[in-house]
Amino acid sequence: MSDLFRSLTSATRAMDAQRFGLDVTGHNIANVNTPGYTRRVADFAAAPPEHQWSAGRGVDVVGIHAQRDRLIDRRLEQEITAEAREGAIASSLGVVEARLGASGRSIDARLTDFFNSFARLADDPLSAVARQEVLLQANALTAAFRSTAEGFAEARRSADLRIVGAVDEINELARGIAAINDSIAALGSGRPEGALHHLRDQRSVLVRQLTELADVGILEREDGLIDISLAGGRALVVGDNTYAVSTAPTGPNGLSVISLNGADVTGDITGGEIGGLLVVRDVHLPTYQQRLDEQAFALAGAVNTVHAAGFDPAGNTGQDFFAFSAPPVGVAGAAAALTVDAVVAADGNRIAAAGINVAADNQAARALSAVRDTRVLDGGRATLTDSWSQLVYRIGRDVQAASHEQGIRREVVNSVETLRDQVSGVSLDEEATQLMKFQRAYEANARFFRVIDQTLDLLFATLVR
Amino acid sequence: MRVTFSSMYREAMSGLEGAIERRLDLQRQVSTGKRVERASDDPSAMARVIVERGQQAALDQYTQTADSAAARLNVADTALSDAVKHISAAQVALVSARGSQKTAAEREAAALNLEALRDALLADVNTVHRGTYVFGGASGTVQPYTKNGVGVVSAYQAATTEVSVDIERGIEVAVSFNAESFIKGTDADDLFTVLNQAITAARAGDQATLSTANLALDRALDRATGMQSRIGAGQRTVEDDLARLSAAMRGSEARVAALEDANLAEAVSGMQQADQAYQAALAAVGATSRLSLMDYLK
Repeated sequence: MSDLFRSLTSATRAMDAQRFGLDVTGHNIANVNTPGYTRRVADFAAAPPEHQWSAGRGVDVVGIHAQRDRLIDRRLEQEITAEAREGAIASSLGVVEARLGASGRSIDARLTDFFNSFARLADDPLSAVARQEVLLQANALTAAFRSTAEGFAEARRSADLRIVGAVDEINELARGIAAINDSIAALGSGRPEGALHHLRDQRSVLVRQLTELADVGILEREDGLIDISLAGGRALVVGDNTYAVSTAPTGPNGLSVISLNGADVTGDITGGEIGGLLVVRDVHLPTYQQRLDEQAFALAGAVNTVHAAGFDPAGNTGQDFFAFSAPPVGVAGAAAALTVDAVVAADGNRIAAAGINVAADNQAARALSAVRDTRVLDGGRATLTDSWSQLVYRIGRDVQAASHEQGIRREVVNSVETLRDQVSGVSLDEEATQLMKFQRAYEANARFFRVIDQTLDLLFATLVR
Repeated sequence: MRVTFSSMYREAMSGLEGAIERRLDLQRQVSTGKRVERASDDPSAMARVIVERGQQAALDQYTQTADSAAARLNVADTALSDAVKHISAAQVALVSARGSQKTAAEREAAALNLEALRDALLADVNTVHRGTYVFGGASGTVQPYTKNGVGVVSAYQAATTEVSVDIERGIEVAVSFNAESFIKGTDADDLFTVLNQAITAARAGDQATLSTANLALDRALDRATGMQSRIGAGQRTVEDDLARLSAAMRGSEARVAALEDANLAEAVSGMQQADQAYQAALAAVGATSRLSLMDYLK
């Protein structure tokens, strides 16, 4: 009789196990759309027999495990970092590109309008209208240079501001990860697996957000905690400790340097959104700016040389046509400071259109108009328009390359996420079969319980008789 | 392979995004007619378009300058034709004053005719176009020759430097001329001095001076017709240049169109295909969503 009672106990445990299976399945279904969730699987094991005449004690729930592949997770984090980097470059440079304006509505158009105004002045050197037009077009051209330079500077400041914000996010995420590490450690060695998996899932979401911001190194320890390094191996999170990343404005531009634990790590962050923004801020935009400065400087130099050699209608020798509101350092700052010389700007009759001291001579105006075809840049290989077209080409190519690379990385991220889903994702079809499986098992065990119960009834009835 | 619902939805979303992105791009091409609007659409094409547009603006300006030069050369040509006629008429008047048989009245009539022709010639060389003297060289507003109250014409007062304009890269044409080069040339006296001497000689019946004046008029006529030929050559240059500029502009416009214009037939057809792809992607998402084993659970 005692064996029959043991069978009842066994059936009860089996029903409990199947209910647990249903519970796990329900948990999976509930989290089908939860970011970072890894599918749970209930682990069963046959309970061993107690003695020679026992088939076994039914089933034991030995635990619950999360279906996770660390290799795929690491790969996903790397690809997310790469995609975020290219996305940041494409997005930031896209704004710069939009500010350039379309062809025929940008500096190229202002250049041709400016040189055309000198051609019209050459056609009628004493015309007050033609002189005013030269001044008008010169002012429009200098304004276009200043506006474009300001656009580049503004883009650098925007990238810098976003870097500062992203660094704050890194600190926030690092603190969150350290706190979860602490919670995992607090669970102790006899920790409930469900809670452990829950914390790991939460942590993986934070790690994913972190990898979008920068290229980080992740080390998973034996005790289940993770250490995170940033910028070539410098510690960011060690167990439940974090090391603060900070930013501080430096230099004449006031752009931020990034420090970790007191060390300047600006140049060591190459991935993620911050890596992309740093490339835009410190490589792309300064290159564009320098190119623009070279153009402004070359324009001023070429025009001033011709203009200074000419004569105005009153017979005054020419002077500089363009000036700089602040003296450039080399060529740096030339575009932002380019203006029409105050004396010329105040009086159109100070424009030196004549090459000789004869009022209606137009040789200087013709020579000034011809500056458009003079190869004043790249060591005498490029005209101003050529140089501008090369700058536009370069910006367009950089945006296109970053967008293209981002597209490729996104595809890779999608593929790796699909791989991760194959391991860790929740399939509703699969969960449906699990539901049926556990439901059926529960029904069978309940039937078994009833059979034993009926057998006991029969036994009790025989005894009473 | 386990296929999860999130994978299916991700793939579906990726397909939908791709289809709608393609459709938007084509829709933009159809609505703007442009394939290249931003540098990143086609950096190389955009760079070439910028250079071409710069060329077009220059061509446009050269065309305007050539038109202006043509107008000025026409005025100069007309004035010079008149001057040639007046010099020829002066030669006829000189002939009419020559000969020992001429009466005083006939000589006076010839002298008066010469005075009128001198004044007409003066008006010819002082021709103004758009506020500047056509034969005043680079002086612009300085009158080349002036006449005082007793009919004495001044020496050349304007600039001897001529003014040219660029009607194409490397092609220039003179538009303001030095009157002295045909009024005086290398002679000791200019044409007005010669005419004044001839007028005095006609009244006095001075045959030798009249004969010398006639030779001077011959040389002046040669110089004037020489300048006229030069102006005519300039006009032909401008005419040829305008045709060349027009052809160059058409060529440049065709190149820009080839670089940046959308192939509308292709874009519209592509839009229809993208539409179908989008509809198919939507239908696929719908169909995927309908099928689940969960539906069979009772």
